[in-house]
Amino acid sequence: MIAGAAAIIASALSFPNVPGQQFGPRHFPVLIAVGFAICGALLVLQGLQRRRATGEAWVSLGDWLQSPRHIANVLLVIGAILFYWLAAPVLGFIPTAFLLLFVLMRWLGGTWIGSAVIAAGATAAIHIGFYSWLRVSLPLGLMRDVIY
Amino acid sequence: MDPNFWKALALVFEPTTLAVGLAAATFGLFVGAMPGLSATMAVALLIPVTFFMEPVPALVAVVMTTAMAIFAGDIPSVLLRIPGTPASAAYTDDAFMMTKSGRGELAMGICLVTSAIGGLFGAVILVLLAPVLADFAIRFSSFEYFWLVLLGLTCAIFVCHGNMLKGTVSLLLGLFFATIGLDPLAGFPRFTFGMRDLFSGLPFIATMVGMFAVSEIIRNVTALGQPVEVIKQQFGNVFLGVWQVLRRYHWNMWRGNVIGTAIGILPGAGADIAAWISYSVGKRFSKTPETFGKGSEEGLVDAGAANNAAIAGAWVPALVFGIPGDSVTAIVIGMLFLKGLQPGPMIFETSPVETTALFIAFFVANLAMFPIGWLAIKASGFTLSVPRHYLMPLILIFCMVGSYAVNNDPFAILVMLGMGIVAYIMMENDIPIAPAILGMVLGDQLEKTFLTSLMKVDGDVLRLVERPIAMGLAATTALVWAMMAWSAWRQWRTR
Repeated sequence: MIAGAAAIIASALSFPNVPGQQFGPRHFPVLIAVGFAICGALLVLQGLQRRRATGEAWVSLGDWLQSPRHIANVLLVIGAILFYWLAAPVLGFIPTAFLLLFVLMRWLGGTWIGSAVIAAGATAAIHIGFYSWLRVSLPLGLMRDVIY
Repeated sequence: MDPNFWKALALVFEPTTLAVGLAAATFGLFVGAMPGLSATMAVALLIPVTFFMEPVPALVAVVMTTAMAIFAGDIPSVLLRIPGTPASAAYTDDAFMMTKSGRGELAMGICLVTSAIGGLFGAVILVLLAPVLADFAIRFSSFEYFWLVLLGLTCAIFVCHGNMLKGTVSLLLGLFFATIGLDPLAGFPRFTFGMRDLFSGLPFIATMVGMFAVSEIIRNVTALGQPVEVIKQQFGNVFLGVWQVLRRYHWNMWRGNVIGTAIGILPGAGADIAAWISYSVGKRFSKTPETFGKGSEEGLVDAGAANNAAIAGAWVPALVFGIPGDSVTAIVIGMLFLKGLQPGPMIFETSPVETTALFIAFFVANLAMFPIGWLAIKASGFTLSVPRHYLMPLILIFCMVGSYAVNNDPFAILVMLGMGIVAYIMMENDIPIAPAILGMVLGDQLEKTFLTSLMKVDGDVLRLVERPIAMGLAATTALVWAMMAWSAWRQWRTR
């Protein structure tokens, strides 16, 4: 946090002053960074005090970090978002959403048939809801040729 | 009667608006009843859809969703000993213990009736207080607004029980996020790293969806497979015996309503904190405090009456000053701007029909809670059996499409992911999210009012308090900071 505060100050000091004005774009971020630095220092002190009192470790990991399955769950959720961001413009919403939903549902414990049916139904419902009713331009990708 | 009232009434009771309200109520009940999914998340997911609606149906949808979600949070408390939303956490043990001792129906009935009455009480206060405050606030200049925003942000830290330091970190983080984009006075791009997508700041809806929905999805998938004890119960007439309980504890109920509404009005504190405070006040003044946590009807009345009252209370500062009373109204303020409804003391003059419709929506939502809530209790067996492994991916795809839909902007999906991870890390380290959201919503206003006020007084900080109201607000802010410093000092000494 203290390092972050230093980075904000370094970056903010490069912001120009507005001619003829006493205050400019740099002042507010610098104030925030000073606050960060103070809080960072207080948190370190608090941590030191607690460590002295209870012998608590510097870093303690959540239980789920000891379970490969749960780590994979989290990575898959993050991967799914990145996959959608990358693949939707190329493949189109329908195949991307179906694939993403199906794989996630199967991985998290859904059955083959259940996952396939719910993924297909949800993809269709969201496409109809957002694309047809709300007129959101969901990417068509490969489906452009199928639809038109 | 004011002609705006009839116009608003007609708009609220239009078939489309009623259909939207009913759909939103169902959605709110479902999300609220699913443990781990909060009312704020329901609203964050709803906002992208309301983007495509007229202002009145959008407001009705938000009010319906919030009211129903906060009530529905009680359902898994009664059946699973898991609060559906954080607002039900205070009395989960009491609700569950009542079910275990064969009083599940009564517990459900108390939750339903106190929720609806609390919601109606909050709505009455909103209708009476907001216009009066607006008349008063119309005289405010940048000086008063600066101190008011600072006081609001200070309160958001003050209500972070246990760790105000982490609350401050959260607030500073939110204020920092608010500086991203063009600065409000000179238009200079800050912390944008040359990305044009960031010039107008972090996309608001994607940020909210990330912080409230994606973070919850991550938290849920790290807990999949943990066994829970479910009590199978068929609910008959849940209203049986509720009247007697409320007559016995009517003072607790009114006190809960007042505490709930007051906490709701305080910026940063919402239904969850209202329920906790009302519960502890109830316990302190109870003749049988030893029964609290072991199936106490009194505790259930105390806290149940407070959480729904807080919902409407939170709208008071949101409408009058543009300062959100809780995380839900923090998101809603973004929606109000998108709908052309500028929060502030003039909102009752510039948008009289919409604000009246909002008031009506609160009454309709809380009256409709009796039949709709009763149906939700009946359907609780089905709701709680929806498997997580199907639900989480569905919420995830909805988050992505919702974030993208507002501006058809794929960059918003990345922001959503980034903010989801930030919020998850915060939750894991017990850093509260609400102050960060408030910081993000109010950062721009704080900077603008602070710097313009300073310019007006040639940089002389002391002159920021020369106007009487500004001085009063500054003194209150200083008092709250002094109380926080005193409490931190005492904590430090006792360790």
